[in-house]
This record gives sequence, structure tokens and C-alpha cells, in this order.
Amino acid sequence: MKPFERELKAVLARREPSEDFTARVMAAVAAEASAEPKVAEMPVRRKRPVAFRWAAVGAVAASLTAGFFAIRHQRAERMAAEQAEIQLMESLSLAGSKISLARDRALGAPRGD
Amino acid sequence: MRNRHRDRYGMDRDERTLVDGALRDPAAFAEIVDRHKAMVYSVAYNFFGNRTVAEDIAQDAYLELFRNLHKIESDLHLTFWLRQTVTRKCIDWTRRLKHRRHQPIEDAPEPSFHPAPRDPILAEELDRMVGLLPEKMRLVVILRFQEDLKLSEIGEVLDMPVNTVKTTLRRALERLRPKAAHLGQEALYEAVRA
Repeated sequence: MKPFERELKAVLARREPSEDFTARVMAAVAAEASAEPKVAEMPVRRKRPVAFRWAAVGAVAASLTAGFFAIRHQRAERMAAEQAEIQLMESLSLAGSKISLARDRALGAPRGD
Repeated sequence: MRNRHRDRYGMDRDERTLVDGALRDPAAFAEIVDRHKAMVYSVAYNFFGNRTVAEDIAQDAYLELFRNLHKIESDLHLTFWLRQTVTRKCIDWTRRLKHRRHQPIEDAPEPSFHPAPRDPILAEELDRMVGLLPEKMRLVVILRFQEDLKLSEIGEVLDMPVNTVKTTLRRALERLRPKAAHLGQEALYEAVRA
């Protein structure tokens, strides 16, 4: 080893920390250890059975399906009602024009007597 | 020399018992701290040149060891783990604090041991110049000259290829050597004049 490297080695030699270093480390370790929550004291969260989850999924799916069919049924009924209304209006209109024609004929036609 | 029985990880019985015991017994952990504190503290001290910061980093490294004690497989692993942790912490602290290497001396606690420099002027200047090296370069120098590690071992600790370690060390010495030589001559001149 060269003299310069020996000098560098001497400059960077290991040295001891202060006397109470180990005590301070142990105090910090003890503080951390006591701050950690113990497993036994932690509230236990119950895990729900898998069947419950599937039941919930099934209920949601059934509700969605029922809703879909209800909406479709309602829409079909409304269309039928609209159709019936159109037919009624046409019938009334036809009846009205026939009545009017019959009245004209009755008024305009020469009487037999 | 005492014949020690080592397990497949290279850990002797006493050390294995110590690490296992440290998981339950604070006294055993304190013994581990005592065994390695000079190394851990000195890496941080030589990196920052500040006793307070060095002790904080060393304490931080030991707290992390306490959290990861169950992962330690051997004596060699423990030493390697501590070296790697303290070097990483040095880099983290530099980035976090943008810390100056030198702080007012009155802020620092008194060390229990002062190594006597052979040439105080040269030693002080070398210490200052090491502190001016870039982070990785400084760590390579510290691990090489404080810890006497081989280039391959430095590479493992710093996670660097051996050739990079070699180049980094060469460049670091090139930076330090001319100034040190100049200072050495001045110191010699002063000594002759006196």
C-alpha cells in the first residue's frame, strides 16, 4: 500500500459512536416495539361466506332482469293503447261523416207526401 | 484459536443463537448493536463528517435491522446487510436533507474515541476532500479504505459492476492524490522550518 493510501486509511479509520449510543438504539427499538399494535388486540373482521356473495350477485341480477321485462311490458301496453286511441278516433270520424251524409240526404230528399 | 462450528450459511453457533435470541431478547439485540456499531457509525460519519447525523443514521439502520431480523441468515449476511443499509441511508439522507457535510462542532455529542491523525493538517484536508467527492465515489472510497473491502464486495454492497467500482475508485484517488501530495509537502516544509 502506498503512503498516500495509508494516510487515507488512517483518516477513514473506524471510530466509536458516543457512549450512550447502544442505550439510545435500544430505547428507540423498545419504543417502536411498544407502538406496534398487537395482533390479539386488533378487531377481527369476520369474513362472510362465499354463498352470501353469490346470493347478493343473484339478487342483483334477478332485479335487473325483472326490471327489464317490466319496462318492455309497459312499453307494449302503451303502444297498444295508442293504437286503440287511433282506431277509436278513426271510427268516430267515420261515424260522424256518415251521420252528416244521412242528415243531408234526409233534409234534401223530396218527401213522398 | 477457538474452533467454531459454522452452519451452511457460514454462521457459527454463538452468532446463530444471538440472532435467534435477538428476536425475543433485547439484551441479545443490544449485543448485536455493540458488535457492529463502529462499522455502521463510521460509514455514516466518514460520509457526512458529522457525529449527530452519523448517529441518527446508524440508529435508523439498527431500527430497520430490528424490523428485518427474521430475514438475517448468517453472520456474513448480517454484516453485509448492515453495510448495504447504512450506505443506502447515507444516500437517502443526502437527498432528503441536502445536508452539509460539516456542521458546527457544538451541535455534536462527544465521541468516546478520537483516532490520532499522524499529520493533522493532511488528515483534516484529506477528510474534507473525501467529503467533497460525489456520493457514490465517496462511498466507494469509504468502503475500500475504512472497511478494507475488495472491489467485488464493494460492487455487491453498492449494487455496481466491479469494473465501475474500479474506475470510480481510480478517479477518486486521482482527485485526492495531487492535493494530498501538495499538502504533504507543505506540512513537511512547516515541520522542517519549526
